[in-house]
This record gives sequence, C-alpha cells and structure tokens, in this order.
Amino acid sequence: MQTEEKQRELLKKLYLEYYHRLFLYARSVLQDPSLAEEAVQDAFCIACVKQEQLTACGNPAGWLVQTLKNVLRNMERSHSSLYSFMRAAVLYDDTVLKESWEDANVDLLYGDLLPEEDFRLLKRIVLERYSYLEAAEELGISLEACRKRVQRIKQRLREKLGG
Amino acid sequence: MKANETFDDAAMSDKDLEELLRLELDREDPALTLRVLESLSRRQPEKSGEAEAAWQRFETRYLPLEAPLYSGEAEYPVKKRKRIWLRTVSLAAALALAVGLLAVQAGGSDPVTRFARWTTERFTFGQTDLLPVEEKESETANPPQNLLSESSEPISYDSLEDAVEELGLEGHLIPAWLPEGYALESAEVRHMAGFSAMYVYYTIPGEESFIRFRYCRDHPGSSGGVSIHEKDDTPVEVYERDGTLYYFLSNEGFESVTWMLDDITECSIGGELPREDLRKIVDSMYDM
Repeated sequence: MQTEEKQRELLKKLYLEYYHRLFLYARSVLQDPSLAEEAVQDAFCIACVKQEQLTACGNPAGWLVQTLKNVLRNMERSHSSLYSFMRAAVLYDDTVLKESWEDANVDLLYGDLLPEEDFRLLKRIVLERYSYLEAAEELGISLEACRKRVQRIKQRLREKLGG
Repeated sequence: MKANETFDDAAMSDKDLEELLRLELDREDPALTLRVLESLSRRQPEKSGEAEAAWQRFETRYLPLEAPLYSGEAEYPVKKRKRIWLRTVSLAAALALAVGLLAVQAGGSDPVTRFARWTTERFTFGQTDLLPVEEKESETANPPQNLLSESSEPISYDSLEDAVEELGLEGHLIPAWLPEGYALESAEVRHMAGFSAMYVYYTIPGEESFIRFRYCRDHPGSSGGVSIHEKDDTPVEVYERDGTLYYFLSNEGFESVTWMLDDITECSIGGELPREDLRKIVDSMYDM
C-alpha cells in the first residue's frame, strides 16, 4: 500500500538522519556498543508504534532523544530487576558465598530452579551484558522468542523464590 | 547547566561530553542533549554505511517484535508541554495496560463502550474489547500496527469554536472562563486515519504557562484507538456534571481533566494550573 510505503520511507529517513547521534548517546550511557544499538533500535520500535505522535510533534530529534532516554532508564530498571532475581537464584544454593556469587560455577547449580540452558541465557544477559539480539543469535532463535524466554525465566523465578 | 546556556565545546574532551550526556539522562529537556550530541558527532563521525546497516537489522530483527523490548514501563514523550496524551491502535500497548487496571464505570453491554480505567501511572478510556484480562504469550511475530497509520497536515483556525465546529462536535465544549491572562496561541485540527484531533493552546504572552484543549473524535465505522494519559499516583477525582463524568488527573505538576463526550469523542483540557481552575473551566462550559 502506498501509505505504508510512505510511512516506512519517513521512518527510514528519520532513522538514517538520527541513528548515529542516538547511538553515541546510548553508548555514552551504557558503555557498550551492542547494548547501545539495541537501545536505539528499541527507541525506533517505539517511534514506529507512535509514528503519528512523532510526526505531529514538530521536533522529531527531541522526541527521539527523549524516547531514547526513557528506553535507557527502562533498560537499567529491567537489568536491575533481572540482576536481583539472578542473585536470589544463585544464593538459593546455600553453598554459594554471598561475596562471590557472581563467580560461582553456576552451571552446576539450579537443577530445581531453572534448566541449565535458561540459566545460561540469564547469565549472558545479566552478568555478561549481552544484548537480547546477541543472546538470540547465540541460541539461534528469534529476538521475540528470546525476549519471551527471559520473561518466562523471570516468572518462574518469581514463583519459586517469591518477590 | 541549562539548555539555553552555552557549553565550552573546545574546552571539553570527548570523555567530558560523554559524561555530560550521562548527566543529561534524568533531565526532561532534550535541547542541551542534542547540542552535545551534535558536537560529539562532529568529533566522532558516522562510519560509512553504519546507519544503513543498522536499519537493515532494524527491519529484519527488531521490527517483527510484537512490542518494543523495553516499553513495559516506558513514558512515551512528546514536547513536554504537549505531554500526557498518547494515542495508539497498537494492541500490544493495550495489552500492556491490561494487568491491574480498575474498571470504575459500568458502560452497559455495548461492546465498544469505553470504560475509564487507571493504574498509578496511566489512565485510559480504552475499549473493553481491546483489554483482555491476561496478556497471551505467543511465539508468532507480528509487526507493530501503527506503522500503517496515516497522518495529515494540520489545519489552523482562529478560535476554539471554529476548531470544534470543524470536528463537528456539539455539547458543552467552549469555556466562558479561563484564568486571567491566557490568550489563544494556536488552534489546529488534524484528520488522521480513523480519527480527527483538535489541539488548541492558550498561553500567557511571554510566559511558559499554557492550557491545552484536546478533543478527539473517531471516524464513524473506525475501530477507534486506546487513549492513554500518563499520570502520577495522585488520586483521580471524578466529577459529575449533567450526566457527564469528568476525570481529574495529575502528572507531576501537569493537571488535566478528561471525559467522553459520546462513545467516539474523547476530550481533555490540561496545563500547569491548579485543579480547581480546571474545575472552574469545566463549569464555565455550561454557562455558554
């Protein structure tokens, strides 16, 4: 459809114009190029959903920067939340020392809490700061499937550990 | 540092600029952020093909997502003065609102009747058929629906009355009273795919204060959308006048009142003014 094509072209124009500056901003905050790109991609996913608003606001650069800021804040919240769950999960095994839980050989833990593959995914995202895309590519699954798997892991830990 | 202050670009290293950007994260005004980014991008220019390659990844990997990755608690902004009112036909956004919402107004059995619902962070007159109780998990990827939306150039008018007439609205919509000093700044109507929206701004000349009127009417036969008002945890007040329920919301200093004129028309008035003034504005609409 012509309208869809027009919308896509408008979005692409904005994307190509502002991508680099937004990426620089996200990288300054996150200190990681892969996570920075994911933040910018997510900001443009929101721009896609909210394209009418973006078009109507009269200041697309400001809108995109502010949206990216919100994404960055949400990323930090999301990471903190996952970090808390993972910490609780590791310390669920009382042989792990609190001071060194991040270094525990987590592959040997959690038979009861999480399948090994799920725990590895959590470790990638929480401790090794993989982007969802990097984690998805490593597992050979789609980004959506990766996101849903993390959601399920979080839900499972919430059910088993409380909180 | 405020946005309208200058920063000494030449005296700052790249690291200084990046630190400044990190500090800007909690500020709402993106103007300084943009200026710092402009400076940093001159020093660290884009590599050839970088954005194009990222766009390819966006189209193939991120666009098929059912919803943005980090939008669960997102605050979708527009210019600060125009913040608050969001509109989307994205089912994903509606689903995100479903959990924990409170239905407060029975609307009968009509499936398109809109219910006022709110959480501590959002308020909506979302359609009931767009708000299932639980979000369903699915491995099936669908593109966000609003990519398909359509917008138009705004049409300007000389008064609130003219803009209301353009929308074809009737009822108590024109106030006889506004707080002292406010004068019309702009009145615009946009006809979008599925709905038309009116934005009218009154300001005090030379000051930042403004009052915004936003009336939005779904086109007959369209499925309409879900309106989302951001709010803080200040209790919502409900005020009834001649059978119409007016909902008073707060969002960190921005006060607004919103109501359904009929099944397809949502109205709101907002600004950084006392809730009591909003109440007086509403009451004055019955004096006309």
